[in-house]
Amino acid sequence: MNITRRQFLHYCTASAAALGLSQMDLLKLEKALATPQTGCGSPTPSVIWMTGQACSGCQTSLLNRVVDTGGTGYYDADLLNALTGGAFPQGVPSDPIPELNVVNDVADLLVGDAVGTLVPAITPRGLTWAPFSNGYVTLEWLTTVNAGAGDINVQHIKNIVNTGGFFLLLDGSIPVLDENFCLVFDNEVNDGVGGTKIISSLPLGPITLSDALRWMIPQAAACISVGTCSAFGGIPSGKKNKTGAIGLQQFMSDNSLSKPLINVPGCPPHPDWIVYPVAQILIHGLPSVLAPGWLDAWGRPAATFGNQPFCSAAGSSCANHPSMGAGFAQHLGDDGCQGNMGCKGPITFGDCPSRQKNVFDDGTVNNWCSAGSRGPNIAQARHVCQSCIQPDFPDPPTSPFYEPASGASPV
Amino acid sequence: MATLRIAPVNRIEGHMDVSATTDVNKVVTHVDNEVVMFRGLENVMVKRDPRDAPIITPRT
Repeated sequence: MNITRRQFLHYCTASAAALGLSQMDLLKLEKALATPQTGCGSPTPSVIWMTGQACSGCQTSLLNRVVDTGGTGYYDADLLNALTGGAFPQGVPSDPIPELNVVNDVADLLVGDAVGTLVPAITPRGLTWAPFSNGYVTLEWLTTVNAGAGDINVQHIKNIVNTGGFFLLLDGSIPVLDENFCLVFDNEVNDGVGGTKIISSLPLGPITLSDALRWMIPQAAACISVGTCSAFGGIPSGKKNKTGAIGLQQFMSDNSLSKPLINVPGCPPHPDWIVYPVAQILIHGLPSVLAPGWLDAWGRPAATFGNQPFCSAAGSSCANHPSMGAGFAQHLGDDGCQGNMGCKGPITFGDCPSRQKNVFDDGTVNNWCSAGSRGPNIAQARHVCQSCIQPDFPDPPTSPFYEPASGASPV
Repeated sequence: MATLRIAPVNRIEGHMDVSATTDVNKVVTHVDNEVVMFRGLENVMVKRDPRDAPIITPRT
């Protein structure tokens, strides 16, 4: 089965606080989903998710979003099935399009059921991704989960790019020392003979990520860098690398490409951080997210990454902060502040300690790199923050990871 | 004799292309798998604190 609009609204409602959505925003979101006005020039925006020098961790992070369904917390089989066209056995994607029970469907009563039917898992246009509900955002290209392969997909992406107005997501960095270090698809009709291009403006044969981006970005409505690699270069761009890996922001600047760009760093990024800008665009339209102050100095949504490090002498939402009374860790695994162990909290701009991961309905079993909330059954990772959302990652001052950095001295 | 080239191969974790060659009887005689993305994490590890290795290498 597919993610319904109701399920998406349920997710947004349950996660409203985490996503920074007010009650008014939720009402707007319902309206937006009924009559999408994304400001991107297309009534049903498409998403092209390109993969560069990546590890698929960012995609996995989004797929592993723990939902609140039933109060137990489990992997979202519906979302997985929507993404994969039914590769996961928990769902029944081959079922005919289900009918909405309008009487019981409060969300649809609220919005007047403008859509009415659900989008099947595999549409004639390709695989439909509906975490943003009901086909209003359609994932047209993500090689990890795409149903087809080869030139069928290339033909599909050609149509999407030529139509324009799509959102371009990228995870993974872009190699520029030799662009052939990352090839994304073959621009050749697969008829066994060869020699026929699919996309006339690109060279015949294997297409580099850089060529693909130079072709796509001018047609896109906006770009979202998912993950630190895409935003700033990340691990592949660490010093001594031989590929010249850079992030999308740098790439667009070097190639004189100008498009709205939202950086969502993290290694991997929290799924809320990925959903947040998309939900905001659906609610408020693209221009509003480009307003001054919405993005911080590094092009990241200020609401989820903040304008100051999450840890300082003055305080922190980290449960291991010295003010919590557990003192300082002297060895890895000790309770207390991990500052002496190399925790980079004082130089990291993010909301990790308060957002946490794997937060279930009843508030149990949550954690992040350093400390879970204190309480029964709460895991304590007692590890250091690696500052994975900062542009310098994984180079100094974020590393060596187990040495306190200058400027990141224990509070 | 024909060559079937599939790029990209989807539903795998990572980048991959496959080329298959068939003979006149349409029997596949040769297959190449190509991994078409390179990061060189070994190079990134050079001159680093060894304790950084288990933080960097899992991100593959």
